[in-house]
Amino acid sequence: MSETSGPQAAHAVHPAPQGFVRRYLFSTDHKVIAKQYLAIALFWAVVGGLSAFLIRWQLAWPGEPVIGSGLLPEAFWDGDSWLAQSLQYGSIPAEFYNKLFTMHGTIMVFFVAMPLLLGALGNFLIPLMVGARDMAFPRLNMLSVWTLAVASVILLISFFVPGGAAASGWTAYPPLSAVPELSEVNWGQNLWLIAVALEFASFLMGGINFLTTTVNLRAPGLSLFRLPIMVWFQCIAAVLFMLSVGPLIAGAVMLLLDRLAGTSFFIPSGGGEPLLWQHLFWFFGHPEVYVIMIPGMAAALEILPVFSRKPLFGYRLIVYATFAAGFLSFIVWAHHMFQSGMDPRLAMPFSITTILISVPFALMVFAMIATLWGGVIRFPTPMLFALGVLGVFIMGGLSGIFNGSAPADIYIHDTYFVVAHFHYTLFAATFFGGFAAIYYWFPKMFGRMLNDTLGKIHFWWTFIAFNATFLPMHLVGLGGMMRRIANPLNYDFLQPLQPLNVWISISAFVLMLGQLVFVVNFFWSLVAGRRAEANPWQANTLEWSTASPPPHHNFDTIPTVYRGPYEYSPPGVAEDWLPQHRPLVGGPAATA
Amino acid sequence: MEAHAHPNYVAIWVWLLILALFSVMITAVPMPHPLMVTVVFVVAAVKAILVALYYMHLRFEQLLIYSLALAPLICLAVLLLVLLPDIVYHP
Repeated sequence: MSETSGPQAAHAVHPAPQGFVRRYLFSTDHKVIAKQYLAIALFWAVVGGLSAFLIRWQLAWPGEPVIGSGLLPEAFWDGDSWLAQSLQYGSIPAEFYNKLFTMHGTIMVFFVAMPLLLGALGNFLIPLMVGARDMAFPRLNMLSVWTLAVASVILLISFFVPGGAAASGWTAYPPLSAVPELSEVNWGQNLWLIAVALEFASFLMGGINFLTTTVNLRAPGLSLFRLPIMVWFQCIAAVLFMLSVGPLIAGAVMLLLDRLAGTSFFIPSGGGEPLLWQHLFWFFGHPEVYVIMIPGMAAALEILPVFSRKPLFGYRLIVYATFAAGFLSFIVWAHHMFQSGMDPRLAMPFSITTILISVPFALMVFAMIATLWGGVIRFPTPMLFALGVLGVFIMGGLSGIFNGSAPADIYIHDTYFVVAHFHYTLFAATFFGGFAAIYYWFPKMFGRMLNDTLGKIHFWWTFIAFNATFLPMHLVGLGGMMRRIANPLNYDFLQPLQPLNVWISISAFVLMLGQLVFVVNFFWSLVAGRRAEANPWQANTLEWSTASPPPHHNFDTIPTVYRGPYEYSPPGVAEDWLPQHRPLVGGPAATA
Repeated sequence: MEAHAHPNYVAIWVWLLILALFSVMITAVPMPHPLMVTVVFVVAAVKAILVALYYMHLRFEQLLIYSLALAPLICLAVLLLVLLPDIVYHP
């Protein structure tokens, strides 16, 4: 593709649209769309965090009025407002607790992690990293973010309809989710299914853009194995999502028909099979956790070489390993169902594939450690969060080995051990990876630096409080505490664990409080942060070759790429970095 | 990218509607259950192939694209294979 023809040509440069609506609301600019995704993710993170607060309050002090609820007058609680109906005189009834953990999971997975790690990061970075002027299908891109906005509104409305929000867990297992009388939720569950199906449609459209842009709009010289890991991982995530989500969209429609049209796909009394839903859900659900996780890992993999001033260790191996993990992720799903009553002959093969899938991820972890080895390591905030991903993810991987093997899983299935495990893995990717990415690419997104001191306080606060919250959860789980119970004090054998539950809850509140540091830093830096130069971290990838923030058309001239993205401390060069687009006299040709 | 004639999307859509109507109406015709299921599935397969060939442009792409289209078919095969013991032979 030359610079004089094709979609990358100079005549493809359009002036930025004028007017607030075209510029910020219905924009086709991938950078604006990325910020819209970021805004949606951060909004839902607050709602998801509040639900976590209420969950932890209930588990530590079951039945006690929520702190602060005493400030409202008695008359308010006698009223029929939504809040008064949901919390009975300030305390959390079991029915509302079911809604809380259902919506916490749904929100955090579908409406925080995906918009943040795929929507915001993928949209912002892919065109900039491949040297394109925008996504391949800018209007489709706008449609995808607005479909997510509609899904968000529907999910938000579901809190307030009669009967309240969905209450059958984020996995929505039938028959509980299929028969309205069982969970006493009617429209909340219907709207949940519609919102989730729309969210899937949104990310399918996004994924098409990711792949098409990467395949067709790469800058001259940017061969596939010169792509940054972030682009690779976003594309692999898009493929995993595409291949896995179809059965669940069909399943969601079938479940909706069970609820609304009297069919019995999943209802045993009508001849249906509830296990079918579990298979369809987890056939999607397991690749889905990698869809979330690998862009978070990619953020760490991008950041580690920059602040160790060393090439990424095993670039090709990491790409191949992720292909392998992606392939394996389609044949591990039944490890979520060892206790479901499925055919027991499936337990052994799925245990084996599950243990196998730890190999490519272990390889990724070793590549991260080897990248650090012998480097000149600096510790600005993005690097701390990237190291946080590494540390926390190792912990999550270790507990995964217990969950993955059927004989061990039978004892810990559905306990807080599993809750601890998936918070260690998904929190590592979403939270630490997401924050690493925000701290690292904030200068490129908004043209200003985040405050590093506040960032470091934020990191250490988050890291310590996170481990204080979720490490003891393993013990509570091994002690036998089940997931999704509203009141642990109802069980004699859980009484001795209650002090630990109180400790976990207090740590969780400290963790949430620590995020205020980030909120203050984010908004303060947005208006008053130090102005960022084009390449504040002295990094190699293409997004740093243009201004911060980039102009509407991204690059004044499309850069030509001469080398891979991780040439740090190369021999024979004065600086300790060598950008992908900088020609070296006598260097390798541009047409690799 | 070589130019190609756009298919008549509306005509394909009409065909899809006709086939959908057909698979609904066929249930009113008295015939053995296995035969009816076979007919309905064949019609569904034809519809899926029409969508893949025209709306997804497979017909206008090079042969390599078909190898990519194999991936979801393999996924489908794996899913069905694992579902069989739970769904078909369930007591």
